[in-house]
Amino acid sequence: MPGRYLDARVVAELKELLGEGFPLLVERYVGDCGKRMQRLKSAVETSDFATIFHESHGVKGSSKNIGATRLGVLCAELEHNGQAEVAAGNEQLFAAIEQEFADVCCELENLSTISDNSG
Amino acid sequence: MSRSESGSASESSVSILVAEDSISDRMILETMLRRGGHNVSSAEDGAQAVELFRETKPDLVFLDVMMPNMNGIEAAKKIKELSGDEFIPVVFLTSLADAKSLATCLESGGDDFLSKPFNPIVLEAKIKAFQRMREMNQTMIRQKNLIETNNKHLLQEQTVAKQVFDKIAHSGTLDLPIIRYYMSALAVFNGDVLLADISPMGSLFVILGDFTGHGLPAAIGSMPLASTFHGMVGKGFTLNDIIREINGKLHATLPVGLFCCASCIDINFSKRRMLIWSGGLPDGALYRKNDQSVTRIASKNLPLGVLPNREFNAEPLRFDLEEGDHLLLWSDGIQEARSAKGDMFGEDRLNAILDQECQACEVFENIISSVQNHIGEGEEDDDLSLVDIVFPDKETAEEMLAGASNSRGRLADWKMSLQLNASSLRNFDPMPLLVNITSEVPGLRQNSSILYTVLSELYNNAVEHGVLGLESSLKASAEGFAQYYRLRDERLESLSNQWVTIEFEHQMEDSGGLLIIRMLDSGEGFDATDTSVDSQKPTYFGRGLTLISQMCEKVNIIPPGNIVEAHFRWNFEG
Repeated sequence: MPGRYLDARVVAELKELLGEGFPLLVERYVGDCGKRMQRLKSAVETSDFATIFHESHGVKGSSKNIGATRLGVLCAELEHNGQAEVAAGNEQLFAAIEQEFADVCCELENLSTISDNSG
Repeated sequence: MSRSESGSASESSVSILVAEDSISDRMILETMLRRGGHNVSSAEDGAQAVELFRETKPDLVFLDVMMPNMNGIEAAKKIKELSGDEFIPVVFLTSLADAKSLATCLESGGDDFLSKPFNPIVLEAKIKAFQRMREMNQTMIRQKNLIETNNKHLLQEQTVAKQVFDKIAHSGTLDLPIIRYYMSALAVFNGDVLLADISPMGSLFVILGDFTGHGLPAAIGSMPLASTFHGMVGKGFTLNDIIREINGKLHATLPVGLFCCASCIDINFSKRRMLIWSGGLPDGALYRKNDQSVTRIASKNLPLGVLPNREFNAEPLRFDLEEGDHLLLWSDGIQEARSAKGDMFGEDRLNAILDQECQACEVFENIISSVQNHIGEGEEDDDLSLVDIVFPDKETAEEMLAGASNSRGRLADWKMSLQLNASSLRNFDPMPLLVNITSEVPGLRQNSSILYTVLSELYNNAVEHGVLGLESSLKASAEGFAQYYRLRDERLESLSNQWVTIEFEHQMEDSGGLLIIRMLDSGEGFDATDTSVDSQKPTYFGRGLTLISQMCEKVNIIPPGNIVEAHFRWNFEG
């Protein structure tokens, strides 16, 4: 089933690689990045650039690995602002990331409940 | 990706440490690695990674750059420190893209990067490449350790060998004021040997040798050479004997192809002459102070150790010397010295220096400085040796000889008495003992074969005619001969109180010495007039006293004829 937020090829490979472990991976991704998103949110509010840089880098890597390519690109932008200590536009950017993350999680959770063969 | 590609064989199984704080990324990487057949241990942060590294000693490390509790950069530094000489690759897991960050990773000791999303094919390719590098590195470390061990071992051996070598092959009296020399060593052991020693007869002996090769093979040959040289010079042997002995020893001990080009000289200060034997070395040069002429001394013989002694010619050349005359000897390292361009110093350049008009005493310096100029920045590829000996004035010569004789204990003026009683007369041959004692007198050793004849004749007379009372006339016929020996055995068996006493008295003289031998026996004596009969009719049995009187300055038979006294006067050089 082609998704709007995930790279189907990456997802297929991960399902093939992990087999029954795929739902666990989804659970871990959602949990780990969920915590990062919370830290990122308060960091954006306070313009804590170090945390912005660090956490958006983390979400970017994990997202790319799981096939959430567009989320990765958005995080890379925020990561760049964090490193360059740029505050302007971060709240809007974070809002977009938050929305994209919610959609990615939703799509992942749908995928993880469907049997392996359908990937 | 398909299972057939990723289900890799366990023969290339690698133990891998993964440090990644993102739990989902860690899970993906771990799974990929396990699928590849590798052993994986995982850490959540940098501190844990270093801890696990210590415990598991992995073959390969994957480190996330940004982690809580010590980031990847710090962890990489610690891990590289812990690895020591061993190559344990560190691969950074990062999607950092700016050059500065990548440079920081490399500076911390990172060997490569792996970006997200992880690709199992790229991952396995990197693992294989690093395994090959590790294997090469391990082989290199093993070989390096082996070389280090071998080298250490070799140096230890050489040090021990050098200590032994230096004890045996000490250079003797090279520090004499009339000797100047230059030697350069290529290895711990030099292929060139230069030894000097003063003989009890007041001769200066010098040997310059150039063994084929250098290092241990050369040193092996220098040991018998040096020990023979010092031993025989010290005991007063002639140049001829010494050279012959060294040749025989080297011929017997050295393998084919290993030999010693050498020149050996014997300079006698009082006789103002030099004997020189040369084999294989470049022709030497003799500078005459008086007429400023140069005589080249041709090296006509084969090197030492090539020919067996029966084919060997040890006959030296003789030159008369005067005060201020210089003898120069060198090894072929002089002619073969190469410049930086590989050009040899050569015979022509050397001859030009020798033909140059200058004071003889300057030649040594001229040669050394020309050769060194010629070599310049080049490397010496053979041992360079040059020795210059100047014939001294009387005072210097005397000082040197006085110094030499003080340094060596020697038998000079002495007296001894040896009494052999019945059982000794039956079973003991005193000849080796007597010859051994007289050989301790420097110079007398050269006369030991003559002395042996004298001593054995006197002793046999004392035993057979004096103690046993046998008539030499018995030996005139074959039957008598047999009877003579039967009686001899019978009478020896029945001896009880009889004895023979041998007395020696020796005094050194300027040109040699006087050994007085007294042979006393317990017999009744004999009519001394018998000897005159013998000398007129030289028969087989009567040769004893005739022979002795020819060899000795004086033979006295003291009445009643049981004491025979012989005066054996000897000179240096036989």
